[in-house]
Amino acid sequence: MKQDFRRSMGWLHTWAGVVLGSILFAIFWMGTLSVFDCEIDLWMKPATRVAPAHTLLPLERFRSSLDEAIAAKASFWNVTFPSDRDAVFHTRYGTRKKMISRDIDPVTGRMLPDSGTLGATEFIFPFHYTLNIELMSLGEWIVGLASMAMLALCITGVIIHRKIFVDFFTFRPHANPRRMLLDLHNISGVLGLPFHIILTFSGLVILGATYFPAGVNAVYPNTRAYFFESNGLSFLSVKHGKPGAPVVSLDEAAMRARSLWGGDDPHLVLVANPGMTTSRIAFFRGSERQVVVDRDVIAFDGSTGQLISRASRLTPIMRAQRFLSGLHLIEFRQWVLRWLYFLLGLGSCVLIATGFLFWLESRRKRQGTQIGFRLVEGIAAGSITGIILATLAFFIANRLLPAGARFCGLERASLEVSAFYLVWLAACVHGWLRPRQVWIVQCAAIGLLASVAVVLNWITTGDHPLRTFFVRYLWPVGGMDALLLTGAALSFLAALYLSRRAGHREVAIRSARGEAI
Amino acid sequence: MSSSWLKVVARILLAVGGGYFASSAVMEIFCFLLVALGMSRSDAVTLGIMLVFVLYLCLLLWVFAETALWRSAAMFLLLIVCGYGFSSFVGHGS
Repeated sequence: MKQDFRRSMGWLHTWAGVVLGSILFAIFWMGTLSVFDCEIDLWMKPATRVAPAHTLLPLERFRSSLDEAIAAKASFWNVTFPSDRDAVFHTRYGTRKKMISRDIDPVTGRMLPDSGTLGATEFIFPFHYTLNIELMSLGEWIVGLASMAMLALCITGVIIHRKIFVDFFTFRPHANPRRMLLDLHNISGVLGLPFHIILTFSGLVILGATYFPAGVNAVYPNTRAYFFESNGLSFLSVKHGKPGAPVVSLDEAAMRARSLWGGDDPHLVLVANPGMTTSRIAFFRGSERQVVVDRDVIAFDGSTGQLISRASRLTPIMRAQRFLSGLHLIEFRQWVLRWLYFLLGLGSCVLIATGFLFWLESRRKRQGTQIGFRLVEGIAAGSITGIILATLAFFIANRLLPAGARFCGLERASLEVSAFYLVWLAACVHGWLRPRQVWIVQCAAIGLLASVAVVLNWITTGDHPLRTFFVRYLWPVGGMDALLLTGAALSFLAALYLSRRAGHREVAIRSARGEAI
Repeated sequence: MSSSWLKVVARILLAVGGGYFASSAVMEIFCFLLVALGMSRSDAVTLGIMLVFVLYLCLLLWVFAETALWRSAAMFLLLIVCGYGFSSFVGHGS
């Protein structure tokens, strides 16, 4: 569309980045936090901060919860087993109207008090791929579009690059800010390129059947059939059946599943249609020891205990797909890699943020007063520092709201989410009204809120950083506090640096004016 | 000014929308052919899902690199017509 190939690609890179940058930043920011979703959950739900049990509770201890689900005519009931990152059991059942989940103490088997929060697994992680917009799964489609744009941005970014190798080693922190931003953009882009491409691509593949239903429709009657067949869940497509059939011993079924797997432990047990004549007990294997997500589902008849089906072995194509989704979902147990994912994710955030800032800096002189420029300027601050502030507000609201809080008909968990959105909105408005100081003020605010979050965690739970450091099962809490403090220190430094630079600029402008007079 | 803006909008719509439906059409034919050649249904669809994003990306970039917009428009139209013709010929969800 421009005179030559490279220039058209440059045009695409610029505008796809400016238009979808804020959505991409939100996706990558929430994705980066989701790397530590269980750890954030532990921080946000102090009741679940318990020492891991040495032996696994028998499944029959959850019988009362199952009976409750049967009485409520639930369509399913499940138990998630404790893992390396999550010490407690979770029971969950869903009726037509709502979903009820509970945390269970792994030693006593007693129900832990409700934390009244969605936490990271139910707010931050879903936000990562739905943007919390449920209307007609619009959010998922926006994320899909932004992900395609990210792939296009990665490819066009490489094409418009002249000296890709030199940029590995080029960083000029003392050059003018525009140059420095571009260097930072290039380093985080080039060093993290495999990460950006693989994570974006695998994310698209995970939701592939949603985005491209054409392939499924060509050979299957519906998407459900493909989902069931490719996941070994065909045993779920049964009639509803009649009520009044008891569920057989879960422990016996679990033992058979374990022996079929050669001793591996289940990650989740599901009872579908509990209490019905057609109920099914299914065991899903954990995938902590491998990248490939292979649940190897084993299903039993719920009322007779007979083995119904075992998922067929993964074909090479399915294995390739599960490898990709495994790379994205990081269910494997490997702490160094998990931290690497986190750091690379932050690198992606830096990449997107510096791209935005570079666009602004290179146009500030020429178009600083135009409405389009002002719009991007406001959106940039709101979507970069704004979403970080909003996340911190979510954490702080979690520590400040009393148990069972209610306001304007909203429950505690919804109030936390409201705090998130209110602060985000306020940050956007602030960016729009005060473009000169917005970065300084919001960086300082990030530092302040992050420190406040650490102090509040200390006051409300007594788990201060020194205590968490010496208790093994509190390390995730200590780690989150440490990251919050590190982030606070970095933001204060950034605010200081920015305000000094603004001071210099003002002096320079003033002296230039003085000379002109 | 306004006509150049119109062109940009047309190009974006063609790339995002046209590219999407063209890739869908290709994917549909691809999956059907693989199944007809004896591959299992879930394998065919999964392979299609993994490849279709690469195709869509290439089509997207092509529209923005192409100087003559009508060429990509004609190509997409051809692919979409083939896809729909094919599916109405063999029917859905065999």
